[in-house]
Amino acid sequence: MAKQEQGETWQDIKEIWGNSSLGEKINFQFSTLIEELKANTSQWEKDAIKSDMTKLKSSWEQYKGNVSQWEKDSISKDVSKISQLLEKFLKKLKRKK
Amino acid sequence: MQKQEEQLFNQILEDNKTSIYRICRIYAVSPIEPQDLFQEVIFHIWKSYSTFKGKSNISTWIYKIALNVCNRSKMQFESLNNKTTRLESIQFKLSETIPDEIEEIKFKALRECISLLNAVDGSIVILHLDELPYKEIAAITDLTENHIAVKMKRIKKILLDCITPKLK
Repeated sequence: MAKQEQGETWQDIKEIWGNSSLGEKINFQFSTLIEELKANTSQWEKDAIKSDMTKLKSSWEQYKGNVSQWEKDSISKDVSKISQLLEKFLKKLKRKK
Repeated sequence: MQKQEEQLFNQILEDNKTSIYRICRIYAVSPIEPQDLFQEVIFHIWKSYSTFKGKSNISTWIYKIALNVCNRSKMQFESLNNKTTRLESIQFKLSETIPDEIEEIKFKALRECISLLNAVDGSIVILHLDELPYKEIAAITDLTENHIAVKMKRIKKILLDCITPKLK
């Protein structure tokens, strides 16, 4: 492709990009926006967590066969250590109360 | 959020809405609508606003959020069965300058060609088309300016090869 033609096509691309927002007008009703955002937070977060969990589960199904026994044992040890530490922490917290 | 902060937040949205919408439009592939993505981006901007430390330019931060939300949207929306929350406070109206059929075809061609790129390259070209300097693109993508320059050469070639026959 000749340099000039490339330059012209690149200009076309820039124009297409620039025009891509012209078809729609966006209006914010700022007087109610913040309240609406606050009201939606909880549901949004629940949905986001649900979506992440689904993603994790499906990825795990795909890859669990590739995880070696050594890795499984190592993760299991880590989880057990974390659980013990968490238990200790909770006990201390209860005592302080 | 204090009144003054609220006003600043509103101003940020107003100043950046066109750029955000352009990004949403290029990433929205049926059944995801650009309006859905736009609302999702606005929500994430609001959610992260309190953590914005002002270390970077506000538009750099907005672009980062918009690209992150849009890049991971496909998988998220699929697992949510396309269920999204609508914010009544954001209204979309057709403007007087409705793009004609040819412009729509050209836009679809650009979207198709950008979708051939990986997530990072797609983000780079979008930011470049939005006329951001390499320095800012580097800040958004966590790459060096030199790396951006090298990548842009390759991305440009891929895009031109893809779009040229479609625009003829």
